[in-house]
Amino acid sequence: MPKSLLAALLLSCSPLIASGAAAETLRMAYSTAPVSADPYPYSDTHTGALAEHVFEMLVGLDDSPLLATEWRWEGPTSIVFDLREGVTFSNGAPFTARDVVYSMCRMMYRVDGRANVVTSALGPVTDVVAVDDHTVRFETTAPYPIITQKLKFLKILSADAAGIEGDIAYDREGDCGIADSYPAQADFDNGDAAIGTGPYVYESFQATGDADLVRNENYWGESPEWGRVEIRSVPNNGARIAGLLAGDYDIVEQPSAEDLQVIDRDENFTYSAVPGLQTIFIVLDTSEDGAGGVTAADGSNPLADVKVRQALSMAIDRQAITDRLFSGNATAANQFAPRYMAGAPEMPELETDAEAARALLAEAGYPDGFALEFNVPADRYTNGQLVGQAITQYWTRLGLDVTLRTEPWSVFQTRRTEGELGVFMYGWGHPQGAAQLISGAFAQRDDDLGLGSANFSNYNSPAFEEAIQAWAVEVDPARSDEYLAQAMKQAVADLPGIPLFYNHELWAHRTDLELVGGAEGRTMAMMVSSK
Amino acid sequence: MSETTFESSAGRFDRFRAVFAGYPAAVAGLIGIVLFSLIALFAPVLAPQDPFDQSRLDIMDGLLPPMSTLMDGTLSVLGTDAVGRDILSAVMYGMRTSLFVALVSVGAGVAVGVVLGLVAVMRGGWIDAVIMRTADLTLSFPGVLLALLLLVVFGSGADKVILALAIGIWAQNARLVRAVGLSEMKKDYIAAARLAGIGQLRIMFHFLLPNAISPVLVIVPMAISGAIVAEATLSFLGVGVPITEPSLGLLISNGNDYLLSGRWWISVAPGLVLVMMVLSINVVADRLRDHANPYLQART
Amino acid sequence: MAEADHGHRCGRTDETMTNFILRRLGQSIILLLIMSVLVFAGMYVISDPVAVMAGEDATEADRQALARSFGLDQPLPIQYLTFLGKIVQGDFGTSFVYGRPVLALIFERLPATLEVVFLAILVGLAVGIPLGIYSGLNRKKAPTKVISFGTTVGYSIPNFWQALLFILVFAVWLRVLPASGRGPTTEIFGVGWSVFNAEGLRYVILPAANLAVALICMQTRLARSGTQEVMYQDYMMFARAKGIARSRLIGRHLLRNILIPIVTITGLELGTLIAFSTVTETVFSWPGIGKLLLDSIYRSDRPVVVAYMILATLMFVLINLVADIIYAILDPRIRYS
Repeated sequence: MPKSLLAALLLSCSPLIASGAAAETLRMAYSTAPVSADPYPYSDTHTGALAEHVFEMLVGLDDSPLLATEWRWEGPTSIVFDLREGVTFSNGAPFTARDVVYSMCRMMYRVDGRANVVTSALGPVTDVVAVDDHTVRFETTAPYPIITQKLKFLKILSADAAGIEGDIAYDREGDCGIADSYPAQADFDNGDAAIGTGPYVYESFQATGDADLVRNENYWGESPEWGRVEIRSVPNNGARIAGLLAGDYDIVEQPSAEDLQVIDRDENFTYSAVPGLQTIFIVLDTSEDGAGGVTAADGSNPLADVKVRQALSMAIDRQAITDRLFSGNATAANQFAPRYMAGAPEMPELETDAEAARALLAEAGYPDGFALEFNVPADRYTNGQLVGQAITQYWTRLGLDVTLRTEPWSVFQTRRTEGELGVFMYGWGHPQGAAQLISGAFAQRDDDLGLGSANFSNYNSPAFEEAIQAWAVEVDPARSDEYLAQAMKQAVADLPGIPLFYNHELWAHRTDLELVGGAEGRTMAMMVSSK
Repeated sequence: MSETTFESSAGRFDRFRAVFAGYPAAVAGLIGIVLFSLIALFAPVLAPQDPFDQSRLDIMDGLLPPMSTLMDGTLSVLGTDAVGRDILSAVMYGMRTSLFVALVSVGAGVAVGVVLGLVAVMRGGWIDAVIMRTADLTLSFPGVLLALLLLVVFGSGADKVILALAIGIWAQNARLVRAVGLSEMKKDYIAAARLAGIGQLRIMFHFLLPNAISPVLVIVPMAISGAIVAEATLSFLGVGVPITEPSLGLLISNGNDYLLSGRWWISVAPGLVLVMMVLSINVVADRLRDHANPYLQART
Repeated sequence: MAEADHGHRCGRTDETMTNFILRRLGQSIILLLIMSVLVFAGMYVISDPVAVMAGEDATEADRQALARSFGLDQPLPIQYLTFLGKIVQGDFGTSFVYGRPVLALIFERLPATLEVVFLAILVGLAVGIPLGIYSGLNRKKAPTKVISFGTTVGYSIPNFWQALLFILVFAVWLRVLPASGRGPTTEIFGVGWSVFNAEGLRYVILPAANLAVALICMQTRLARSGTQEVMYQDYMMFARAKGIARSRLIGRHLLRNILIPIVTITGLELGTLIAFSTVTETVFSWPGIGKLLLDSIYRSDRPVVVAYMILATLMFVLINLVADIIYAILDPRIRYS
C-alpha cells in the first residue's frame, strides 16, 4: 500500500517518471460503468468486458476456441463440444462439463424473479448434457446454427464454488433442482462467488463500476503481463482524455476524433484503432399506412416508395461524414454489416448523387419534398449528434422539411419500442456474425427462429424472407453465407433502412504500450503489453 | 398608467441618471445590455449566415479556423464548428435565443406570480393556502433540478425551457408580492378604499399593485440573468434547445469537445459572450438593488 | 430571497409552538405526497425501463417477463400504491439498472457529495468572511472595489463553464491536478472518505473549488453587509468612542454578530448546494448522488429518481422547518404578531 501511494505521488509530479514505477499496474478508463461483477443479468458491452477478464466462454468473441477446443454437429438439433483439459478455476477446482451445465442453469434462471435479458439467446436450448468430464452436448428445439455465436454470452462459472455436488440435470427454467444454492449478485460483487477460469481475479468491485483486478496465478493459458489492473469509469469524454494526459490512466477507450489530434501532438501518447463491428444505419418505416413523424401533402407515406428511400440514401455523402466528422476513423458502409466482417458478401459502393436523388424524388411524386422527423439518440453513438446534423443538412438540401430530434437514450428507446419513430438512427454491433442486423431489424418476426425482434421498418419482402429463413436453419457454413448474401443484396436493393458507416474502435494510450484491440471494441488488459 | 405612479418622462430620466451617476461599472453594464440586446434583435441582418438554415450549412465547411472563407464565399471571422456553422453568426443567434428565453420566462413567471400573489392577499383563506403551498412545493426544489425533471418529462425545446423556468420563477414573486401586499392591506388607505365601496379588482390593480411591484422590479434583472444561466446550463446538459438551433450554452457544450485540441474558438467565443451578458445584467442589478435598499446590500 | 421567504409565516396569530410545528409537518407530508405522485407519473410517461433494458434480440416473452419482474405489468395507480406501501416500511425499492436497494445506492454515494460540499463551504467561509469584513470596514479603499467587482464576476460565471476552465487550466495545461473522478478513499466509521488522504485530496480540489467560488462570493457579500450594519450600531459606536482596541472590537463584537446570519443562510443553502452539485459532479465525473440522479434519469431507472426526489424534498422540507422553528423561537412576533 505505501508503495502504491508513493507511486501515485510521484505520478502527480511527472507522468514520465511514473511510467517506470507503475509498470506492473495497468490503469484503464472505461466510458461506461460496468453494472455488476455478476456476468449474467446484464448484456451491455462494459459489464461484459469486465466479466471477460475473470470469466471465459466456450467460444471466444473472435470465433476462436477458448474453453472448448472443438465442436461438431451430430444432427440438425444437436451439437457437441470438446472441452479444454487441465483448466482450473481461480479457486483451484478443475473445469469440467458439469460447470458448463451449471453455468447454463444459472444463466437461464431468473434470479429474484428478474428476467435475464441474455436468456433469450439460448432459449431454444432444450437440454445440456455432460457426456463425460470433457464433453458436453447441447440439444435445441429446432435447427439453431447460430448457437455457437450465442454461446459467446455463456460465461463459465464454477459449480464447486457454489457448493453444488453431484450431477446437474438441466431444465429450461434454469432451476435444475439447485436454484436454492445460486449465489446472489451481491456475492459476485463482494468477490465470493466471482470465481472464473480467466486470466484475472477480482480484488474489489465498487457499485460505481470501478474494479481492481489481480493476476490469476493459476491461469491455464499464457500468464498475463499485468500484475494488477485498475478499471475506472469516466463517462465524460473530455475528462477521460484529460485523465490520460494528466497521467491518471494508461489507456482510455473511445477518444473522440478531436482527442486524437491532441494525442498526435504529444509524443508521450498515441492511439490504436481497429475497424469495429458496429454498423450505424437509419431505419425507415415503410408501412403503407403511415410512418411516425412523416407527413406528405397527399397524406401518403413517401417512405413506402422504394424510389424515395433510394433518394434519401443517394443524398448522403458517406465519405464526407467519415472523413470530416470521424477524421477517417470510420468506414463508409455499403451494406448492413461491416463489409470486412467474415461472411459479409462483396457489394458495390453506395452511390452519392444529389441531382439524381432530387430527380428520383420528383419521379416518385414528391417534387416539393415532404416533412419528416429524424430521431437520433443524443448519448449513445460516437458523434451521433454530428452525424444527425450532417444527414439533416443533406436531406434539407434535397428539399425535405427535416426536424432533427435528439433525445436521451431512455426516451428514444421507449418511443422506438412503441413504434412511434418513423425515421431513426441506430447502431447494431454484436460479435455474432454478419447476418445479425438484417435478421433482427428487417426480417418478419419469428421468435422460434430468433428473427425480426426489432423490425421497426415493417419491411416485408418475399424474396428477402425466403433467403433469411433459409439462412436461419442452415448449419453448413458455405450455404449459410450464400443465403446471407442473397438476403443482404435484397435488403440493400429495397433499402428498408439506409446503411451509413462502420465505427472504428479507438483507444488512446501511453506510447510505451502496445495495443492489439479486437473488433468488438472491448477494453481488455489482455490486449495491452509494454514495449 | 395609474395615478400613483404617474411621472413625467423627464423626471423619470433624472431619477434614472441619479441611480447610475458615479457608478462606472453599472454604466458599462447598461451599455453592455443595450449592445447585446441590439445585436440579438438585429441578428438576422447582422449575421453573415443563417445558422439555423440547415440547407446553408455543410460539414465540408466544418472546423475552419477564424478568418476562413466558407464554400459559398462567406467570410467566417470567428471560424466554424464541426457541422460548418459560422461561430459569429451562431453566437448572435444564440444571444437571441438566450435573451428571448430569459425575457419570456421571467415575464411570464413575474406576471403569474404577481397576479397569484395579489389574489392570495385579497382572497385569503383556502385560496391563499393553496397558492402558497403550491409555491412552497416549487420552491422546495432548486430551479435547475426542477427544470431538468420537467424537461425530461416534457421533452426539450425553447418553449419547454421557457415553461420550466417560468415555473421556478412565479413562486418567488408570488411570495414576495404577498408579503408586501399583506402589510399594505393593513394600511388605512386600503380600508378607506374598501369603505368607499371600491371593487376588489380595482383595489388589487390600482392600489396594491403599484406598491407591491417595486420590490419585484428590483429582483427582475437578477431573475433574467439567472434565467440566462439556467437555460445555458440545461442546454449544456443536453435537455434544452434543439441542436439545430443552438443557444450559447449548447454552443459551449459542443465546443467543449474541441477545447483540448486547440480549437478554442468554438467554445471560447460563446462562453465569453455569455459571461459578459450575465455580468452586464448583474452589475446593473446590483446597482438597482443597492439603490433600492442601501442597508441590505448583497443579501440575495 | 431569504427575507421574502418569511413573509407568509407572519399571518397567523395565537398559535402554540407545538401546533405550529404539527401544522407544518402535516403540510410537509402533503407536499411530499404530491411530489412523489408527480415524479412517479412523470417518469412513467417518458420512458419504459423494459424498452431500455431488454436486449436487441429480446422476444416479446422476454419483455413481458422483464416487466413482470419489476412489477411494471400492473396499472400505474397500483404500482404507485405498492411503492408507497413499501416506503412506509423503509423500502425505497430496487434499482432497475443496478439490481440493488435504492437507499443503499444513494447512501453509498452520499459521502462523495458531502465531502465536496462541506469542503466548499469551509473554503467559502474561510475566504469569504475575511474578505467581507475587510470590505465592510474599508468601504472606500481600492481593494474593496476589486473585491466587490470580483464577487459580481464570480456570480456571473456559469458553473459549468467555470468547471471547464478549471479542467483546461489545472489538468490539461498545468497538469497539476486530476481532471476527473474520485481518488482513493480512507475508511472512517465504516464510510470511505477521500479527503483524508493526500492522493484523494488532489481529486477533490477542482470540484470543491468549482462549488466554492459562488460560496465565497455569497459569504463575502453577507459578511460585508453584516459588518456595515453592525459597525453603525450604537453599541459599536459607543465602544469605539471608549477606545476599545480595534482587534478586540472585530474579534469579539463584530464577528459574533455577523456570524448568525451567515450561518443561518449557509444552512439554508446547504440543500441547494447538495442538489446543485449535479452540474459539478457531471463535469468532473464525481461519483456523488447528483451524478447518480442524472445517470438514472437518462437510463430511466425510475426507483432511483423517485427515491432521490422524495429524499431531496424531505431534506429541503426539514431544513426549512428547522429554520422556521428557530425563527419562531428567536422572534416571538412571528407567532404573536
